Amino acid sequence: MEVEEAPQAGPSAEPGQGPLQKADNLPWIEKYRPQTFQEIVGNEDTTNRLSVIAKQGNLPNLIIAGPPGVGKTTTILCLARILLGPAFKDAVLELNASNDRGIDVVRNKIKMFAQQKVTLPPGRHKIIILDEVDSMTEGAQQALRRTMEIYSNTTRFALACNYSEKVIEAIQSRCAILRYSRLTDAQVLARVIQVCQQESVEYTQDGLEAIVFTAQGDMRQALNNLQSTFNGFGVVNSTNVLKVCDEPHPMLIKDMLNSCVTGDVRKAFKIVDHLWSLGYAAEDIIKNIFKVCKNMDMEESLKLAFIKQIGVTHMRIVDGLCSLVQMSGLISRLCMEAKGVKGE
Amino acid sequence: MKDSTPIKTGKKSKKNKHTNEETPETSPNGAKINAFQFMMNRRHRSIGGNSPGREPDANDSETASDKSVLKERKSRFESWAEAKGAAKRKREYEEVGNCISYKLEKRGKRLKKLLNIDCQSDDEVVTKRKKRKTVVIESDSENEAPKTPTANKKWKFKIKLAVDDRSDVENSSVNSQRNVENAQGSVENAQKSVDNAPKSVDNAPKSVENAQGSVENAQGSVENAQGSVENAQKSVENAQGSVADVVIVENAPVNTQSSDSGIDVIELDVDPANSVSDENASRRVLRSRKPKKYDDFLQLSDSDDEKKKKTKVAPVFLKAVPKPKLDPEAMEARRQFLMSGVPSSLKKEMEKVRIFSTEESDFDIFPSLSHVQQKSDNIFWDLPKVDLKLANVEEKMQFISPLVENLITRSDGENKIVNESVQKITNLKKIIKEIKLQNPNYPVYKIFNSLFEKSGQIIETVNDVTPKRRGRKKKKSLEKPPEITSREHTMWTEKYRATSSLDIIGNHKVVSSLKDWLSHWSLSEHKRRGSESDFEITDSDSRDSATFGNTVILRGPPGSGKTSSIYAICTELGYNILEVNASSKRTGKRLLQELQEATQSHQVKKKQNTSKCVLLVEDIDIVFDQDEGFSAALSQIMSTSKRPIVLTMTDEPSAGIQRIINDCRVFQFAPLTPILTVWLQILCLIEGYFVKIEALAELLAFNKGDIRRTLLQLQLWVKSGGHPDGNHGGSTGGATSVSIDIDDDSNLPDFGTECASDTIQTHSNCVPIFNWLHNFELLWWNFPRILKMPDFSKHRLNRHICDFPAGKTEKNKLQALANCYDSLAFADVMCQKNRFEESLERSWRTKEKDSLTLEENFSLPDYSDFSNDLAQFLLSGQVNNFEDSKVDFDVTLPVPEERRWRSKQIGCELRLQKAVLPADCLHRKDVALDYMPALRSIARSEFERAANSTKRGNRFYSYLKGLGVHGSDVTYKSACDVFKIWD
Repeated sequence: MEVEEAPQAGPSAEPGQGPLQKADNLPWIEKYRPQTFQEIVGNEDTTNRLSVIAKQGNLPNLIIAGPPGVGKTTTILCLARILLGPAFKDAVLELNASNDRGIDVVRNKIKMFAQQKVTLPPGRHKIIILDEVDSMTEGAQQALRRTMEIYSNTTRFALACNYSEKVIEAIQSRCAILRYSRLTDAQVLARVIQVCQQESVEYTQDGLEAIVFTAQGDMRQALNNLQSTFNGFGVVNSTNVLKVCDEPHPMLIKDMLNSCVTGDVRKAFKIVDHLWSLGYAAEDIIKNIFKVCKNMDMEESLKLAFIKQIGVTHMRIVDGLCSLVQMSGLISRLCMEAKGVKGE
Repeated sequence: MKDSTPIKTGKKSKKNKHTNEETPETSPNGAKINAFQFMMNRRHRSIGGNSPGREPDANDSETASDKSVLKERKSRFESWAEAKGAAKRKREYEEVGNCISYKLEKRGKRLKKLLNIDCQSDDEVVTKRKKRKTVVIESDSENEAPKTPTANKKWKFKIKLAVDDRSDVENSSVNSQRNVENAQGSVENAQKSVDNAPKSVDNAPKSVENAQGSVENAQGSVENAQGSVENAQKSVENAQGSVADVVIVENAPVNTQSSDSGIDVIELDVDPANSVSDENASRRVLRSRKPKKYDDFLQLSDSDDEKKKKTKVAPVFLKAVPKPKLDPEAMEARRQFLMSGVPSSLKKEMEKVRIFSTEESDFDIFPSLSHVQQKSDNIFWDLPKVDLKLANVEEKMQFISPLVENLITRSDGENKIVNESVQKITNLKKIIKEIKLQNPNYPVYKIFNSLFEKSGQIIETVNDVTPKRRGRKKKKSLEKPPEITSREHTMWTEKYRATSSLDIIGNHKVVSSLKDWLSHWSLSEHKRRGSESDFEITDSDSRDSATFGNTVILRGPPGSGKTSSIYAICTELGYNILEVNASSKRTGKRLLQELQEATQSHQVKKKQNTSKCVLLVEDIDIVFDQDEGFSAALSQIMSTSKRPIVLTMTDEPSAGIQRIINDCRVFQFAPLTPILTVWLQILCLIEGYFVKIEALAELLAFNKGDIRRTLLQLQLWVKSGGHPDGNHGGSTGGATSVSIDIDDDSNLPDFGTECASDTIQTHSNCVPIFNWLHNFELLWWNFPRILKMPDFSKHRLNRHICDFPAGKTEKNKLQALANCYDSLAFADVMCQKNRFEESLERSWRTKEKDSLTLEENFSLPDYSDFSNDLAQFLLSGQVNNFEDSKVDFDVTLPVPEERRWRSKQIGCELRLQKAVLPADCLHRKDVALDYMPALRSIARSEFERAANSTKRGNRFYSYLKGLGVHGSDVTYKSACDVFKIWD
């Protein structure tokens, strides 16, 4: 199939080992991309429904929306493969964000494909897969709307996007929208362990924890991090993983939060300053602070107050005030919250 | 000799000239010119097409002015040479040279002997190339060559010739042959020609002329060899060697205008760039280098000879076999020469490829070392062990093994929903009856019939069960005739598309007036035809159409049935539709081209009703940059058209379109009303599922009355097995969350029903907590319910009136509640930052404009994920904190009555706000706390007064009217009721 055949960059995992098998050259995300509905992790209800549709045929136009790395594209490809079988090559047009998808392409290429005749069994239709449809311009989406209806006898659309709200209303109206939610840590972990076993990766528990922590429910990121760590260091432990991912170290952040809880501004600031001097961006730091804080072991109400303050700081960062001053402001506010001092 | 070709002779004569001019000083100019001419001639004759053509330029450039310089230089050289004891050295060199030449000859003879065996074949090969067999043989026969000084002299002479030839060879740009290495490669040839030298004086030029590779090579190499020998002999002329060297080393287009004067005068013509001092320098360098080079050469040739002796193969073949190792410089030179004719783009390409190929191997997708610089000297990476108490991962780690298995082998419990679900409902009759009972005002049976027909299932028996006008039909079996299966595999939106105006659901008024308009058109057309047949000018007619307008606009949100309606009506009235939509290019020009004819022409044939035509232009509010002139063309068509035109658009008109809208009649389509849920229910029933009406209503509301989307979602949901819920035949009780526990079919226990519960939520697992966060309005309305507060809405009253969760003091409760609302507000702000709607706000709807206008790029980094996460966590945390228990955020959508109530309230509020001074409007606090209550209380008191007295209504509310608030009684009433529960 198209996607598998063209992994951009055939990475030679171990260079100089002579001819490698094709599978060895693939990134793990491609190598372990699920081929059937049974293998898709997460969102079981939706995938089950789709697998039934895949058996019956007559797929309505679809939009699958969800955060990255949860298997949207994989689902659509599975669906198309099962629906069309050997005719997959002829009857599928896949366009993703790397293709040109301006108004002209919609008015010409997509329309042409929709008009094209491909012999398929009853109940099967040509499928046009538009990946990341929310990155299409509005114009292109508008140009698509009537095409979706007029050729619905022969062609169905399967769209994937991160935010269905970004797709124009008219397209939404012509599709059934399915939402994928983020994978749970357990699901990611299970899959990661499975891959580790198949690739005979040496791992430690804390390494897997770190991978799950950095992935945050994004399977693609988890597998990529795993492979990077494995290729770079051989052993998957937390130190290596965090080196590869290069995130502000959760331990440090946890220390910082703890000293905030005790009201030790000095120490907390020292840590943040250290992170800052390591060159992390404010966004990275604040994101990891949130991630750590979310799972911290502390009083619930205080945690919520902390989270709120983190949110305030994040808003400022989004506004463009990503400076150390804001970070230290955050720390002082956290300490005030912890001490019960009324601020402002 | 045997050569009689004119070229040959010409050559000879020239050569003779050369010999004649052995005394250079006599006529240097003439010699010069001769040499030049000679070279040019040679060039013209022998050059292939691939000469880069630089040298001619160089040659041309040397003009008479150069000659004087050259002469001067020459004389200076000579004087220098004298000064430095050139004579002595010359003698020395001469001796050495003699020695060498003697050696060479000897060696050549030896070789010759060895090679004699192969001579014949060799000669054949050679002659094949040369086509001059006899000469070669002759020279062979005379090979027992002279070692005499005369011979030597002759040989020298030959050398001179060879030098000439060399320049020729050079000029003919077989340049790399000059390289010493080549000489080694073809030493036998060299030997041969050396042997031949005395006799085949004119053979040499001949062979050169032939320019056949091997021979020429031989010549070149001989020259080179000789050249160096000569250099050895004549130190004065070492400059020549230096030039040659320069040529070799630098690959610069040095033009050796070789010795026209033989022994002691060798002219140098270096590039203009090469100054005298340069020459001197190089000479000096060379002087030191020369002996070595000479030795090298000898050694090389020696070894080469030995090699040849060992192999004993015909020299012609040998030459090809032992590929001499070229030194990189020479290789480079050759390569560059070969490349010199290649276009630079190609060169670049090759260069790129080369670089790529060298680099490619070095890189590795996952570098083994992190390129990120980390400070290694601090404790940062040496932290003992990260035992993150993060997440619940640790707990998960405990039960990893069962968990993994579960995930990998996918629990079958969920699959069974799908697998065993589809048992089709067989007893449609009773259910239909049931529905009819619930909706007595709705033509259930009729709809059922028409839908049933469309569904393409076989209708076999007609049972008149009820006295109603139509009997219900019973589906008999599941096998369908083949022609209908095609119907089976269409989308529901197509399958159940309306085919007549009666089929259209919702918006009945609009549809009927649309139909009136269109039928009026056809009537007037008839009339006009009648009048035309009477040869009357259709004045009245055009006035008629002017008053009535030839254009209507259908306006409404997506999925409200605009296009479907016009299609249905047109098929009913027998119109054809000419559709122009946004999926093709719609520039003004093209639009005019395509439509002008259709809209301008009257119908010629009278009786054909079928060819009546409606022009349907879809989505006129979508005008892209590339569709320039669209709206202008459209208005032109509208003004001149003699056909009805229908335009469709969604709600908000843009400025460019506004003009068009003003001219014509607008039919506003509303989103579909919830009564259609019955229609949907029947439809689902026909598809084999009984879906609870509440679920359908909710789905419809969720999709904001978009029938198309609802249908598609239903199709997906139903086809994938629905969601079995309350089943009163007594099977699985699918536990779902919604508060619907009315059992519609408890009195029909004889067949299993499958009821959808909350369609939105189970269907597709959509509306996860994530989803509604975008919709804070919805959440806000539902907040009391989520917090289990006493509910304001009567409809939702499950009303356990628990005020607050027990176990908290009043103050804490209030605090927690405040926190909840605070966090809601905060979350709203937080996510507002990342609302896409704002930034993307209908950018396509901007008017037509210059193509030069820059579009603003809104591609900011996307933080919405993070903010959503955070907001969600915060909110659910606060709510849980308030509630002390897990709360599921299932958000129910407002029922239509409640929505109506809300909109009434909002409308009332807006009315009353007119009384507020514009300057104060932004002081929301004041408005909310001062103005509005005062106004409301006025309204309330007036309302009471009005209710109690019998006087005429217009005497009341005068205060409000004085303040600029004009409203109906309803307004005032709702103003009074603002805090009351709606009913």
